[in-house]
Amino acid sequence: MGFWEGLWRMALAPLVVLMVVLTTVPLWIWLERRVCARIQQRIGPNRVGVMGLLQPMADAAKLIFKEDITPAHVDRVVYLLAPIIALVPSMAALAVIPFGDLQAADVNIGVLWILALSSLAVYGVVLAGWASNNKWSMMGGIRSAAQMVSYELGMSLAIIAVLLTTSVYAASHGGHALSLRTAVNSQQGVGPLAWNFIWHLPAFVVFIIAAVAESNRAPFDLPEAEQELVAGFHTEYSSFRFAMFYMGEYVHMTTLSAVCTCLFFGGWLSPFAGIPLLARLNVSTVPVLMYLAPLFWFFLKVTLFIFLYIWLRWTLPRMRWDQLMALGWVVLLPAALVWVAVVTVLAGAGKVVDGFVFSGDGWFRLLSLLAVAAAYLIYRRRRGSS
Amino acid sequence: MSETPTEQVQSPSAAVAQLDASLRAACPDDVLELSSLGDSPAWTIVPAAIARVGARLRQAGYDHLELVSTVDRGEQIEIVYLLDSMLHRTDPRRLALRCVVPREAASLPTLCGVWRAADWFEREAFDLMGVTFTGHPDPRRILLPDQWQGHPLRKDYEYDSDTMVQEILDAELNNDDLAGTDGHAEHDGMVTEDLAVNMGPQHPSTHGVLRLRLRLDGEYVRECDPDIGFLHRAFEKLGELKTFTNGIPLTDRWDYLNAMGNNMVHCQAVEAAMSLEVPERVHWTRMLVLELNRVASHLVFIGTYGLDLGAGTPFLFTFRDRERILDMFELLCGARLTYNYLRIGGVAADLPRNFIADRVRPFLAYLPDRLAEIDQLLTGNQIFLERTKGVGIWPAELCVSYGLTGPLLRASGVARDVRRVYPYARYDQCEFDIPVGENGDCYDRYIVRVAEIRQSLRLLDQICAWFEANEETTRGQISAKVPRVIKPPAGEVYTCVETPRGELGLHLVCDGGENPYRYKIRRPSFVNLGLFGEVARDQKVADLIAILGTTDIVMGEVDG
Repeated sequence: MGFWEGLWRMALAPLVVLMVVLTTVPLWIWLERRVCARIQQRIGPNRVGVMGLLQPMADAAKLIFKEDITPAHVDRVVYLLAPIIALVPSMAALAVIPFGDLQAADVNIGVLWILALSSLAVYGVVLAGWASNNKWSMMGGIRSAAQMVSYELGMSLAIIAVLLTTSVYAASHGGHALSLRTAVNSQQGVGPLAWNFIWHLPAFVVFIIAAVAESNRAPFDLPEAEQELVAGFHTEYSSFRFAMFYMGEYVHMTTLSAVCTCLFFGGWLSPFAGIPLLARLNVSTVPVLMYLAPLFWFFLKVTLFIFLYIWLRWTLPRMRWDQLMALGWVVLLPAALVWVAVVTVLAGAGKVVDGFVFSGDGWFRLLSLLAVAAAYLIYRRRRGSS
Repeated sequence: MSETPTEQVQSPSAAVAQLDASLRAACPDDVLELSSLGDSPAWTIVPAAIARVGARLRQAGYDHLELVSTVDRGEQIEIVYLLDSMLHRTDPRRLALRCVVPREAASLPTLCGVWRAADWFEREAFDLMGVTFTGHPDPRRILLPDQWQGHPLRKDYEYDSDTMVQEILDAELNNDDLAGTDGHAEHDGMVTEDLAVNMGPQHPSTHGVLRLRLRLDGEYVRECDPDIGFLHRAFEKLGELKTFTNGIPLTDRWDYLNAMGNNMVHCQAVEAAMSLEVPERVHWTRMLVLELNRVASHLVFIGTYGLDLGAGTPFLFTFRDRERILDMFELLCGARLTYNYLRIGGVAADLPRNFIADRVRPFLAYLPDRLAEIDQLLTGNQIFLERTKGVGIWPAELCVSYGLTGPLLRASGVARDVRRVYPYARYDQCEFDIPVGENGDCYDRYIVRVAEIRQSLRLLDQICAWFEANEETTRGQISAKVPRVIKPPAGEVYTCVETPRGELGLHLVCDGGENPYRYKIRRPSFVNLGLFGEVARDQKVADLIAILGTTDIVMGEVDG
């Protein structure tokens, strides 16, 4: 590794990633406010900057200059640390995400790193709830802990299902099975048809639901359920400490959307790649575009998921905590578990018949579609008969 | 002593005579004289025997304690009980019981064992009139702070505001633990800590300044004690201090989502006391604004109920639709919330030209599509169904015993609507259904109101048709001949209207002067909240919010 490459890898690339992500947060906040306004037949903020784009900046400036109140009754050290604990892990998780060529660190345990850090973020919420020394905040914190534990499992299993096929790919094409870069590379093929969300549909659905729950967004926003707990864990926070929770939520959303993009939506791959007539659009040899195009596709996909988050939040009522637990433990976890078993069997079967008409991968895809279709038909019949 | 004479019944109907005979036969020493209260017969009962007579009438089918009113008669305090029947057919349908107790020892047995509704009624009577009810399970003040001295509705009441308010503030501010202390609970050998918390008076979901003192066991509510009175504005006292005309704007402020209905009950009571007949057009104009107001109020309920369950968007949708009604009211009377539109003997102003064709008719065509939109967003939403179906089931008997009225009662399957039982204006000439629920759960309480909007639209359609037929011939006939100074003759009446929250009643006692002598309001939100402490027990916190949301209380009315 030469000096310049080392400088880029060790210092500049992480900085660029951090900057890029921090820049997207105000963008998401703006998007959320504009989209929710549209959904509610309002206009939304449109006064500060073009189309109100600078509104989140103005809000941030306001929050910074507000008085930072530390109530007398709180556990001071923990109270001051909690927002940091909430924000930092979600940001650190971004390190291993490949935005095209841009990546802070391509470590060989990328997925593990993400799972570890995104479950660390719950400590921020739990500690904030506890340190606030407020009964309602504590309930928010406890709810958050229970929720994270329930959804972490389903989410991890959904990821494991994808990793199974990624590892098959890694075994034949090289690369680390747990690296998100390998996961994206394994989805090269005929445009979106090669992406995992089709061949891992159950895992995709489980992941999306669990991701919404992980980031404490409606309809799973129980820890801060306004109508029940006033503001839950962040009731006692003001000024920039409150802003850090707020930012943490959006960074967490970004991280999870990015992971989802990598695992299920082909990461930076163009939706037109490999499609015969559109192959001429391939820009991988054009000097500047070859770097920008992957970034463009990646952020477009992330934006789609953020939009989905926003759409869900402003459409659905909130679930009750026991219904939420039931969904996590009784529906998502078994579904993901069954899917992991199915993938294991099908990927194994694909390996056995590898080369017979299709490749092993092709066989897996065919069989997985058949499995999902069969499950759906059985569900329809059982529902019809009852 | 200003004894206001009560009019003797000249020829009691056969049913009243029969009931009189059977009552005297069952309780020979307890029943004194038979008089009347408005149209209803009234029996004076020996105070010590009120529980016995009450239980007897309860058995005879009078399952609804409609109102407990108190009148300061100088040397004596008179307690008036209004009884009605919901699940049974009784004849006469409504009757009154009177007890007269000496002022200095104003005490009589409680009726809590007979009707659960007596609980809050009697606490209120104690708080404001100083009548004690022996055997009451919870004899605290209800609207005023515990440290309050005296009973404001007594005619000789005077108070030293500065010192008393300071004492009350000191007592409240020095109380470090307003929620009470945490306790211990045991589950299967594991000791856990109970959490004592205040929900409100500042809380997003208590619909105003309601304070619930909760004892939580984890996410479960083990005890719930509603604390009300933060918005007490002494309307019954103010009613006595204002003339009959000046009292109208005050009524706007009781239940501010239903100002027209409040105007109505006031005007209707005074008109009944004066035996005043209003022109036909006034009846229809009043029905028009009453039904529009009902739709507006139910739209607020749908929106805020979505909000209670965490769905913010329907709120914006329903408020957009409600805006159209407020625009119409603004055109009618210049106000959007406190209308002050009805007058004794009429209404303040005639409808603007083409009001029906340009405003009301387009709205009737517009709203059904919007309701379909709400149905998609909420009624058909799986999460919404999971949150409301089977949650907070109130059996019909429970509702009746607590004196619930309005959509809350009808959701439990009791088809009682004042517009049908005691028709006022021209409701007896209109066709409408009374939507009822099947299970009495949160979903039914929600869906009954949605159905009531549709029935109101149906009524509005008929009202529009009347105006279209009679617009020209009746134009300008918006008031009866009313004397300049309104002085109803001495006597008393009870009248009621069906508001979006239930039966709003007014027990009006006149002594021939320019002001009411007693102005007792039956506030449906207040009565409906009475059962909340009981139904909240053992619910989850999230369900508590879902259930409280369906009561659709307006604190301005609860706190009087």
